[in-house]
Amino acid sequence: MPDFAHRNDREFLPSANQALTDLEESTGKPVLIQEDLELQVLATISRAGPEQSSHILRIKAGSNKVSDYLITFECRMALRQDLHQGRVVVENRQARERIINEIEKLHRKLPLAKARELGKFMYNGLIVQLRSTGPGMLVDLWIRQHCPDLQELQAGSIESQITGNLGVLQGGSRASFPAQLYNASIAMNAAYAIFGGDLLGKPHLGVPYTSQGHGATARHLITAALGEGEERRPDDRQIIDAWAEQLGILRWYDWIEQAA
Amino acid sequence: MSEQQPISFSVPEAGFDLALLPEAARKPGSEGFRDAVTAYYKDAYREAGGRVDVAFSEGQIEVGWHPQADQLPSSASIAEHLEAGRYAEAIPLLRTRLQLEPEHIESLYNLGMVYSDLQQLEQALELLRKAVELDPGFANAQVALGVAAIRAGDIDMAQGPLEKAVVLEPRNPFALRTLAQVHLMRSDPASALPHLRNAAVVAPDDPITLFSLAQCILGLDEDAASENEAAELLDRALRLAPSGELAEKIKSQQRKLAARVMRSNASGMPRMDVVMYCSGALEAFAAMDHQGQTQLLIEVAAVGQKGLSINDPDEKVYLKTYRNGKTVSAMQAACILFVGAKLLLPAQDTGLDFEKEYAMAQTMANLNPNR
Repeated sequence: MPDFAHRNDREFLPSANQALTDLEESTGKPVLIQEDLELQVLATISRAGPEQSSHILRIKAGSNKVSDYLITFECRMALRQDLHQGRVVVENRQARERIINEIEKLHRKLPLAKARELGKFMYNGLIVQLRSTGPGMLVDLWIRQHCPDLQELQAGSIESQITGNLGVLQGGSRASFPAQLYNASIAMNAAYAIFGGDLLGKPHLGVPYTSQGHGATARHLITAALGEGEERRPDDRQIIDAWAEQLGILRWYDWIEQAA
Repeated sequence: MSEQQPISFSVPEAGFDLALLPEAARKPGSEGFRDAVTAYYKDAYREAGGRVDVAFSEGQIEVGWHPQADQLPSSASIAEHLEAGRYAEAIPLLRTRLQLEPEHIESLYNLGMVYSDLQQLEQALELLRKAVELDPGFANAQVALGVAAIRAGDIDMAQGPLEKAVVLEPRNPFALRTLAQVHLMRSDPASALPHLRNAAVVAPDDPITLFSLAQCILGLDEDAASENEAAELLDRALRLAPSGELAEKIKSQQRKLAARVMRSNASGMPRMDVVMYCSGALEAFAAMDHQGQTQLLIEVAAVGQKGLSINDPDEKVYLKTYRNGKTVSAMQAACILFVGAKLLLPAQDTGLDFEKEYAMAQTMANLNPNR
């Protein structure tokens, strides 16, 4: 069994504490925290379904310095799920199989089982990126405006994420991915870098992407995520569908009714 | 203020957005293009301060932005990346540090190690040589230089730094083990043995050391005591590393040792039971079509992967695809594996030495072709 910590077992910055309280009060269920060395992303939350008694927040072990920001971010993302109108994104099997087939063709030397695994990993990664990047911008904007205690942690985390993403621009990367998947992922990275640069007052963060002509698409995506001012923010479903349309991956996933 | 992080990325020249350049400078590869691209990046980062490097190589534009010295990331944050194996993030930080302090020994050492792990050995050797020139008493850098030289296939170059490291730190297990490895690569187990024995004393739970020591002992002596000691070391090593590449090597060595013991018990003569088992296996394979042969080989190879104690007559295994399902001894299973590999994968080393017995079994099969 993994080791879980209850929120009372450690101290949080006020904004993280508030985010946890908001999520627990809104859902009537506690948040359990698990540090996970194997986690592929910095943090992720599994919101409790009807049959679960707790939300599970997983944080990559060793990311302590930024964990309060990540906790806040993930709780606020989970709270936004109420705006999905009871529907969730799920994989589209045909799209997934198409990606797997392309991976098998691109990496002929890989054993078939490995190629399938890689294909699934890439497909799932893109869907996670699609589901989280746009809505995450609204959450980051909110944190920037409402959580002064998290400003530095947020800036460090966003900047790390942006510089970490640059590896995908390296010469050899492009040939390893199916073109449509690669282009969609790069466009989302570009949007995040330019958004992060705007948010933190560091426009140079977007330069790697603008110099390769991704600036216009990135700006479209940012506008689709942030909407037209505070009064008219889009919900997550609108953001995700608008991004998918812009990226040409509208049929790569389905929306289904969430179990009651 | 959060820590400024250096940025480095590459762009194919053909991928640069030409609309950002003056019309006269839009031919990738031309001098005008390169000047304009360089000017673009310098301008794009001007407000951020720091320094911008733009280089062109093999159709790629390599761009690096380095924050000002007072914005430099701390050694702690570099160490954090290194410990987590995040080399892509550590490299630009280390390069930045070295640009500002070219003789920063810790950064020379760390960047050299990273390049060595990434098999970028020329760069690794250059950095590590500089580190030991600046501080010849830095034992870990001497070891790292030796390791990089081994990886580059130059054991002559490796030996000197490793010997220095062992003099500097006689109880450094990694230095001892790596120096021994150089001697083993020279087919000189006698020189390797004392270093490996010392390494096994200071690091008794290091499976690589135990495995190397066993190999070394087997390379030197053929008496029963040495074989027993090696067998015990291999058992310990396998308990410490029960899976993965090393485990496979250990198991292979165990099979070779078992065959050697068997051969020694038979005083070098072919063993008739092995001849009979090989003969039976030849007959069984001959009666099968190619698919059946392949299935049998896969099944017996899977059994072999788990380890076969061929000198233990009580060990039995069930083979579903052998003669419609049969329980056989570990020795018989090893013979089936050997014969199957000979017939279907002749280039494959099974780790078993049944050549004499196999040759006799083949002769018998030729004498009785209608069997």
